[in-house]
Amino acid sequence: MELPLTVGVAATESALERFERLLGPEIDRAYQLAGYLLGHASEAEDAAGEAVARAWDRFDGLREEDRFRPWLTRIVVNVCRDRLRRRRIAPFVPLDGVEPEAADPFATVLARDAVGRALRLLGPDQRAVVVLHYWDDRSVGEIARTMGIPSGTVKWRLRAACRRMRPELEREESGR
Amino acid sequence: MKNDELGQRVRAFFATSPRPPAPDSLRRLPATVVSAGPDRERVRVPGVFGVRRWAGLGLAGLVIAATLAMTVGVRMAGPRGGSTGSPVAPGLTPAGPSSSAAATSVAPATPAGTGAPYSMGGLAWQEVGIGAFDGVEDLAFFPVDQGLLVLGTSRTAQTRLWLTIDGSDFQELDASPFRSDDPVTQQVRMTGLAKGPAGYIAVGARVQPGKPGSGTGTSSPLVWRSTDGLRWSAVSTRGLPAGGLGSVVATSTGYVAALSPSYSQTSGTVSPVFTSADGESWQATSVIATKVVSHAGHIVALTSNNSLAVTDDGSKWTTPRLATQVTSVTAGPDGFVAGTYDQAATKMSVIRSSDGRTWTNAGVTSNSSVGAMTYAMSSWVVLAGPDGVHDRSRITTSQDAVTWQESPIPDQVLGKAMPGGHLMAFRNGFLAVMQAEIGPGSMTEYGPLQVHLWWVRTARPGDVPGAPMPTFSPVATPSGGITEARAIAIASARYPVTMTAPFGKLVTIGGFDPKQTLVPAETPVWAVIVLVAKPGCSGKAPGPSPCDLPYTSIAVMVDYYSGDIIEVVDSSK
Repeated sequence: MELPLTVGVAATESALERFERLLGPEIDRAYQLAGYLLGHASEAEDAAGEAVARAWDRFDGLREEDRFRPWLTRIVVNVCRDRLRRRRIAPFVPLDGVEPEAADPFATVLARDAVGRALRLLGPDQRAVVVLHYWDDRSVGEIARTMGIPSGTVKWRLRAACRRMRPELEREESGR
Repeated sequence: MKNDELGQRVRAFFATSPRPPAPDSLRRLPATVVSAGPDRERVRVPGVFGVRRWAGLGLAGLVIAATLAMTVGVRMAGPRGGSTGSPVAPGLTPAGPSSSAAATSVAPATPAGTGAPYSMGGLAWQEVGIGAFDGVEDLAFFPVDQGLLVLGTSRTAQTRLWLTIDGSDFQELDASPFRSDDPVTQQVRMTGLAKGPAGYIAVGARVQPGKPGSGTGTSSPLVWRSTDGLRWSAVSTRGLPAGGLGSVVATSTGYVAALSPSYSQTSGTVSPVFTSADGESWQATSVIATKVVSHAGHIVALTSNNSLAVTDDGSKWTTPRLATQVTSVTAGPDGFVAGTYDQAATKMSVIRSSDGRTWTNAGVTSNSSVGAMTYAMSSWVVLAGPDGVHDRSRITTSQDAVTWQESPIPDQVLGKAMPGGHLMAFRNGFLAVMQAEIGPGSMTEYGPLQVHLWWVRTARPGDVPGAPMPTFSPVATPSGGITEARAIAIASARYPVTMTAPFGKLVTIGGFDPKQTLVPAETPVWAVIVLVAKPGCSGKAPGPSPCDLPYTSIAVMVDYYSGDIIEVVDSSK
C-alpha cells in the first residue's frame, strides 16, 4: 500500500523532486496520448506542457502516489478535450493533398491509415474514450474512473464512435 | 463490419503506431514555473507552460429540473445562476479611456466576430463575441465600473472571464481565482457581485454535482474580492455555513448575502441572510431567505416562506403585508418587481414597489412560461418560452407591466438555440444568452452546449430582415409506426397529466445513456415526457421550498410499432 505523499518513503524529497520523480516515467505516455488525441506533435507538446503545469499547480491535492498516473491522464485528456472544443480542431490530418510534415509522427501515421482518418470524424469525448481504450488499453471501468464518468457513458461513447467510424473503414475495405 | 471487427482494426492500428518520446522540454518543469525554496511557488509564464488558465465552472446540473422548468414554465423565471441581483441600468455608457487602459493591462482583446443585425418585431438581434466563446456553455454578467464582466462557464472546462465595454469586444481577464481543481467533478460558480465600502465583493459556490436530478450535490460558499473589478482574489470566509452563496448586495456599511437553497427529492435547506463589513467575516441575521436584491438603498429578500423582507442596512428587517405568495423578485431602475403565484387561479402575477415596503399589483401574466426578465429600453422585457399556444420562445415587453406586447425572435437566433435563455440590460438594449446543444445528451442531462450571445436593440433602417420560423416537412420516420399523438394518448392513459401537455420525441434508445434504460439499442420508441406530482407537494405554490419543482418528469417509452409501453424511466429514481 502506498503511503500518503506527506509521510511516504521519500519524505526528504522536496515537492518538486517528488513531482518530477513521478512525472518521469509518465511523460512519454502523456505526450503520446496528447498526440493521438490532438493529431499533431506541436499541439501535443503544448497540451502536455499545459497538463504538466496544471498537475504541478494542483500537486498538493494528490494524496497517493499510485494515483499519479490516472490523475495525470485525466488532466491530459481534459486539456486535450478542451483544446479540441475551444479551437475546433476537427481534422486529425491536414487537408487533402497536403502532406503532413515528416517530423510529425502523429500527423503522419494518422493520415496514412483509414483508422486515423476515421478518428478525425469523432468529437472530443468519443475520441478520448477510443484512444484510451484502444491505444492505452484501458478498460471501460478504468476509463470511467479516470474521466469521472459512468461506465455506461463510456460504453455509449465507444459504441457511438464505432458507428461514426464504420463507414470510413468500410469504404476503405471496399476499395472506394 | 461488426463492432468487434472494427475494434480489432482500431487496436491493430494503434499497436503498430509509433510511440515517440516526449520532447526534453517536457521532462522538467521550467524554472519559471516553479522556483526553489522552502515551499513551492507558482509563476505563470507565456509559452508552452504559460497557457491561458481559462477556468471553468460549470453548468453541471442542467438536469431534469431544468427540463421540467422549461416545460412547466412557472418557476425558474428570473436570472439563472450567475446573474446579478443588480441589473445594469439602461443607458449605461461605455467606460472612458482611463478604465480602458486598466483593462488592457490585464490581457489583450479577444478577437471576436459580430454578426449581422436581424430585425423582427421592432427589435434587432446581432450576435456578438463570435469565436470568443467557443467551448463555453453559459454566460453570466456582472456590471463593474469599466463595463460588464462576462463569466463563461462549462461543465467540462475551466471558467473564463472577459470584460466588455461596448458589447462587441471582449477582453479576456485572468480567471484563475475562479478555477476548479477538476471542472468535471467540482465546479466553481460566481453568482453575484456588489460594489461596497470594501470594494468589489463577488460571491458564489464550489459545487460538486450529484447524480443528475437526484439533488445529491453539495455546495460550499466562495467569496472573492477586487479593488478594480478586474483582478480578483479568493477570500477566506468566516461564519458562513455549508451551501452556495447565490446573491449579494451592498449597503453603506457592508454587504448582505443570501445562500442559494439546496434541494433533494424530499427536503430542502434554506439559510439565514448574512451580513459582513469586509466580505470575510459574516454574521447571520434573523431573516431566512434565498435571494437578496437592492434598489436605491433598499434591500429586499425573498424569504423561505414565499414572502418578502425589507431592510436598508441589513440589520433591521420588516415584512410587508402581501396577499399572494412571492416566487421571484428582481430590481430595476424604477424599483422592485416580484412575481407572485395565485394558487386559486393558478396564475402568475406581478407586483411592484419603489422602496420594497409598499407594493402594488402591476398585472397578470399568462400561465404560460415566463422565462428571463430584465428592464431595458424603458420597458420590462421578458423572454417567454414555448407553451401550448406558442411553438417558440418570443420576447414580450411592457412599459407598465400591465399591457404586454410580443415580438417574435428571428429564426437566425432560435434556429440554433434551445428553449430558454437569460437576459441582461446593457447600454441601450439588452444582451440575450442562448444555448445550443451540440452533442448527444441523455434523458436527464444535456449534451455539450455552446453558448451564443446576442445584442438586442431597437430595430432601425438597414438591419437585415429576420427570417420567420420555417415550416418543416415531417421528419422522415419508418413506416408502419404509431403517431406521436397516439403515443401521447397511450402514455397519458397510464399517467393522467394535470400540469401541462406531454410531448413526445421519436428516438432510438441508443440515443440515451444505456444505464438509464433496459430497452435494446436501435429500438425506435416514442419517449413521451409526462409530469407527475411529487408526493406531498400537491397544491403548494412553486417557489423556494422543497416543492420548488412540485412535479417530477417521467419518460414513458412507447414502442413505435406496437404501441406498447415497454419501459418507464422516472428521473427521480
